[in-house]
Amino acid sequence: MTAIAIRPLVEVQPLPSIDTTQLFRHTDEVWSPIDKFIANTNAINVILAGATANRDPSPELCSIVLLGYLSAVETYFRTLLSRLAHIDELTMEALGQKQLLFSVAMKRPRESLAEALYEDSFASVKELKARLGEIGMTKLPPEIDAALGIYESICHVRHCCVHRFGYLGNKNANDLGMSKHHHLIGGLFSASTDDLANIADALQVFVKTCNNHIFKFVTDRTVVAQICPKHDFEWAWSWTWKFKTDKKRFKPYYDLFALVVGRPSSVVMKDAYMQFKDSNAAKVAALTTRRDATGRAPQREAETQA
Amino acid sequence: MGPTVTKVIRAHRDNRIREFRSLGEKVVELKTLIRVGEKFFDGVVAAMTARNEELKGKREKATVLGIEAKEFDPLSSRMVDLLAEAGLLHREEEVSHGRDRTYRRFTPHLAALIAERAFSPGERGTSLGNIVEFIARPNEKHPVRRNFTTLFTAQGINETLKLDLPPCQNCQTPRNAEKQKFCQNCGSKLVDELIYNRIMAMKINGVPGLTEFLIGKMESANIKTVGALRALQDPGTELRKIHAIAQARSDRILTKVEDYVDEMMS
Repeated sequence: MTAIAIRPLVEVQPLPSIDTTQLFRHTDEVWSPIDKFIANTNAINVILAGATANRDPSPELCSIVLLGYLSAVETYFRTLLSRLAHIDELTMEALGQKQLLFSVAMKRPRESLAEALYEDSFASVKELKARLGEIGMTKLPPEIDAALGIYESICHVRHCCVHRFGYLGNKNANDLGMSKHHHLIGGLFSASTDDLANIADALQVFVKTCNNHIFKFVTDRTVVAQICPKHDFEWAWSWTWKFKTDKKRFKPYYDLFALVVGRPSSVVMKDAYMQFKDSNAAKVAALTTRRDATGRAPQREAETQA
Repeated sequence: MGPTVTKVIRAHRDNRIREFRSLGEKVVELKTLIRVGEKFFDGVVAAMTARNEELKGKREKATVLGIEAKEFDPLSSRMVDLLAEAGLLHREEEVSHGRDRTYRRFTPHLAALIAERAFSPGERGTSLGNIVEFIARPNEKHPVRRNFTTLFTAQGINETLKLDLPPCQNCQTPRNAEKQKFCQNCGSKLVDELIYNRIMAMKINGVPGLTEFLIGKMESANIKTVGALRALQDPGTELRKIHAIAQARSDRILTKVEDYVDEMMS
């Protein structure tokens, strides 16, 4: 009796082996997150421009492009916050309770441990707010708040692109506003080049706004925290308000937030420092007066002066 | 002998035209000016050929074209300058035909005239002797007068002169298409056509930092928009032709305008 060869319903080829160790290469870029964000977005734009010289992009390309743009945004926040955790003492302190995988702690250098704290998605307002809240940014400035609505909608569209091949799902329609979107459920995401350019613009404005505000937030709060330190936080240094001596303290912040490769590039470090100094001058004076009046001069301040 | 000589002359003319076209490849903003300029040049040559046909029985020839000076705007001036730069048109001195009627005069390259048989009217073959004889005739007193509208219409030119969209502000790569949003080379956002046209159409008197005096001076020289200034081949030199404007003032004007343009584009 000969065995009857049963043809499967769908012909299947042998499974290829995939070696993930061969799929990545090292890059040694030392760009600031904002510079990298612009470069990543531009790399997507090149693909888009090449494929749409004389016609609108196909729905599949739209999905991939949108995905790329948001991936650039996520990468921006991830690198920014993880690098911030290594240069900013208050961020380091705020993240103190976070947990790390033991395998990461064993295998990775100390200088990049914080990267492992940001494995989760940033592609929703809720997640983003939570991550910013963790470092102390609990109240967002109105400029960021205003852009969050658009960011949220783009994130919902992204969800369709990642999980549903661009088709609008019920939940996403609900999140985007059921009354306006109910008739589009099952519809395919198909944007024009102009639409994609608008989305790219919106994301860029959003990221740049966040970049500026987070920079101001983290640098400004060092000033307040040094004059009125929390009971359990020991400052090893303080601003002298002279560029020559403050330079080395200011530089890590500047390098992390400045746009250097992209254009128009940020002001030079000295100018950025002067703006930082000027915008804090009044606060420093007021806080110092108040502190002196209440007679709570911290010990460390006395040491610095001595 | 005859055919070889004509071949050489044609080749020479074609080389000049190729050089002219290459100007548009070097500076993409000039593409339209170059494209229209070439047709305009053909029109000039055709006008000369037609006039010489009329002069066949006389003892004169026509090689000079006259266009009334007041017909020129910065873009048409630039177009003619580009033709002159490539050696296709030679500028002659302006002549006055009565009050307020000044003509700018140009001679097209003789190779183009010979190639288009402007000096062999009515002949079927090409007799070098006859061509030389025709060229030896003195020029007629007046230039062949035309205006842009008739020349353009005769050549079927129906586009208006304009500066084309600039290359990528970041990497200087020329665009592939007018509606392009991002640079195909570096991915930077390109300045939008509408915005670019709006910037070019902006009045000089709206540029911040220019004094009333400077604005007045520029307007008197028919430079009324940002686009008009940028259409000039060498804006600095052109500005310094205006009375009371020398290096310092022309520099100041150019810096203010460029700053303004940069700011609007970014």
